[in-house]
Amino acid sequence: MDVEKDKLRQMHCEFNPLSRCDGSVMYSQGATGLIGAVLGPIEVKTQNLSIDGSYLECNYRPKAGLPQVKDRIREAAIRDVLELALLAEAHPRSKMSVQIQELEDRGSIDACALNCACLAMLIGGLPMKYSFAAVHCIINEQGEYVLDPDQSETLHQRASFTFVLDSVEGNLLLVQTKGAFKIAQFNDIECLCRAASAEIFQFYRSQVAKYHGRSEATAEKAVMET
Amino acid sequence: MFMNSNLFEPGKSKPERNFVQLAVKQNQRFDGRRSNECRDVELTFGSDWGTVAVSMGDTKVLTRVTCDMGTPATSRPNEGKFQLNVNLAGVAFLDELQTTHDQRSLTLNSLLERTFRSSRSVDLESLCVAAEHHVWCIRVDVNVLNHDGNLYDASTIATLAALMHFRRPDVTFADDKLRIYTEKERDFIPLLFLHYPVSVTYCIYKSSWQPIVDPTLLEENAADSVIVLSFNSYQELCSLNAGGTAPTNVRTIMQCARNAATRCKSLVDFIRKALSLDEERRLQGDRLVDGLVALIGNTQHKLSFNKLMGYKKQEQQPTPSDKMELENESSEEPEVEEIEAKEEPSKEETGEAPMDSSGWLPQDEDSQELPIPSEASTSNAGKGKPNRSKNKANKKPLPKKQNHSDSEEEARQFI
Amino acid sequence: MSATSTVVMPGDRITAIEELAKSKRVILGPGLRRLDDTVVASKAGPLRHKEPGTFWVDNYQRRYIPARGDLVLGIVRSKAGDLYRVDIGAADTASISYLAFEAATKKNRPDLNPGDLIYARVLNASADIESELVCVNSVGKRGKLGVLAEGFFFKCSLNLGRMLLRENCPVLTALTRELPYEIAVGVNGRIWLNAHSLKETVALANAISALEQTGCAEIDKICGNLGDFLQT
Repeated sequence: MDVEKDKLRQMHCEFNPLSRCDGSVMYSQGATGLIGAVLGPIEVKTQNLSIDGSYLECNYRPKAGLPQVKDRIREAAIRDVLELALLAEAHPRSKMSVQIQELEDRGSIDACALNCACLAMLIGGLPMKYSFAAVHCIINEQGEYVLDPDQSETLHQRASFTFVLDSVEGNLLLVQTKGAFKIAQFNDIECLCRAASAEIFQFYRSQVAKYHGRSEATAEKAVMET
Repeated sequence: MFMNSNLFEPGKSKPERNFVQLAVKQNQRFDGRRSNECRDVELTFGSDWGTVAVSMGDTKVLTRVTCDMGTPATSRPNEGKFQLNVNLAGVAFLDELQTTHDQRSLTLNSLLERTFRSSRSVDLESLCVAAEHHVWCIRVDVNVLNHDGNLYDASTIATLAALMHFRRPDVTFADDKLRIYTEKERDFIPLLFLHYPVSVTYCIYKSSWQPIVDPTLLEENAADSVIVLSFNSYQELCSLNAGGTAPTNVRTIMQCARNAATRCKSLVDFIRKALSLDEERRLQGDRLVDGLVALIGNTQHKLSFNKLMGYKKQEQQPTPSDKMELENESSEEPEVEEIEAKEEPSKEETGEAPMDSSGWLPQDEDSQELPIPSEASTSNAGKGKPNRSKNKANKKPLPKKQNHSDSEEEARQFI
Repeated sequence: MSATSTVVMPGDRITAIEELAKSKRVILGPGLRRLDDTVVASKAGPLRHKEPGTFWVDNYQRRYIPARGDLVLGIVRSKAGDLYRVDIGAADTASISYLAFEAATKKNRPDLNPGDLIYARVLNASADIESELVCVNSVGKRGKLGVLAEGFFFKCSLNLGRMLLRENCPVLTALTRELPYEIAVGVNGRIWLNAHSLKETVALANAISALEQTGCAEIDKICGNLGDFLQT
């Protein structure tokens, strides 16, 4: 629990825990955990059909009950980012479906949900322009910056920021801010988040490599035998 | 016929159906289980009260219980409210086709309603704060995460475990003022139960008389009928759902019911054990660390049925399976029916069947949809008796040795 | 095929291919795309290379994207006039004409019903139109294609399907040493199996599904388990 203020909490993920969908991931950052699942490309309803790109469906489900307003806002944010990252023209007349299920919300749920969605897309084999990483950061009562805060740390916050950056150019895909802050603080935090995003991209890469590690061995063996 | 256009549904093509029918006939299952063997059940408790994830093989269900204050229904002014919600959409992708979604979620919802609400398992009167004004509304959300057969059992286990795990805040009502205490001020209070029901699912095929328990999705989709029996820990029947197209022998249903009753009892014991382990863990203080995040890779916090109840499993298994093989070899299906038919009149003649055993007789099963809790001890005690009386009754008109021996075995296993 | 492969992520620019493309023709397979003068990955996975100049990303995938010439296993869903609609696990259903079977004529129609399993070849595949299947080769012979009546079939990942379809697949040769069987593998990640007895078929299906978790390296162990299982 005692993670330094300028470090991300420990990230964990498990690929394909669910057997039915095309790709799924269980992702956790500290004590915040989610399940992401994707399906696609699949059949699309005529009302959503588009001849020059696939239709993206994105749903976020809270742990219990019907989605509330804050869940809808989160869902819209995820959809916006995914629409930017998805290579829609690869599969026209089809639908990509991304579902995120919240398991535990212990701080930075917005950023975790976005990272979870990105990992689910990666493992589901949906074509993407780039991967993305989301980082949450707050300014606490003492005016300190706390990266990826735990729920207990967010109780008394002056401002909170969520930055989403892409993996290629490092462009900002989404910025959400809340509270009062100075523009210098904003710039500081952006730098902080940018540095942290590199760690997340590294995590993505190592996890994908790890997951494909077994098939790697397969290929080598096949080469050896032939 | 095709449930979902976008997802692969096993058990929907002809080769699969034929193959499953054949496999059942030869008493083979794909995962190497016996026909009466269940998958392991794993419970993971969340960090909040009343949050439980259950997995049975690849079937995964997440259930959460929440509560808030509300006004009671006018017809029942002194009872709390109890609401069940089933959600098949989301990561399980079960809602692609509206019609099947409706059917599946309706079946599941009605099963849960009958098992928990109609059987009055939760003591709703204890949830009343001020009659006609303030009662607790308990809401159970069942989120299906993955479907690999037997959603019914996974959901009932998850619901019961979540309800038993749940704690509500303490509340006082004085001078028209409602005061809800936080956890720091006063400890949270668990719900009160009248009894603890869970279900067991059987699949029946036309090719075989032998039902199989805890079906996978392939087995469930290829099945001719599915029987869901809910029993409480007192081994009383809480709900029975038998549908489908396979004509089913009364004896088969009775056999299912007997095995289900024992299974349900051990499941409830398991949930109790798991809860006490969870409580210990919470007292130790690592409450914030675990939670549902433990689902990821970490097996330490998963509470497995086979592990916790290990000793029971070994005891139970040999008896029914031996019996099964014995019955299988003798293949005396038609004879059994004959006996069944002759049994009843002879029993009336001898008049030895004790009255309280009526719960186990087929003709009374329908009428016993809502068991009265007080009946628990009597029907429990009388369990062994009907079998014994059947033996006696059978000896006179039909001295079939084979049948005699196995019904005796049944009785033995049951006691 | 080169065994040394690096894991690429969507958006990664692959300069090695760009260099090679200057001197000779390069074929970009799935997971790679051209953006002006650069080659960029669009999927995550190890980059594979096959001489002389074919590159692709071998990502994990369960959803099938139809491609011309693929062998697939499909389930007949419905009859629609002269066509049968077949579910091949792709975004859209595929169609197969009743004339696309061996010795089929207008009078002599093949008898296919919903729920039947067929092994077919993809004749046409495009993102914009429904894919078309055939159960005959160019000279009208059925070969190994057609309706699969008995046996058992199940779903796996596309990667496993592709691995089994590779020439001299070590898995299938190892399994052949244990017991005789018939197998039809679809590139769409569906496998049909038939052995002498039901028990053998179940054991084989479990052995192949186990590969999904362990990878090929464990094949000897799986074969050992298989042998043990069949003896009991």
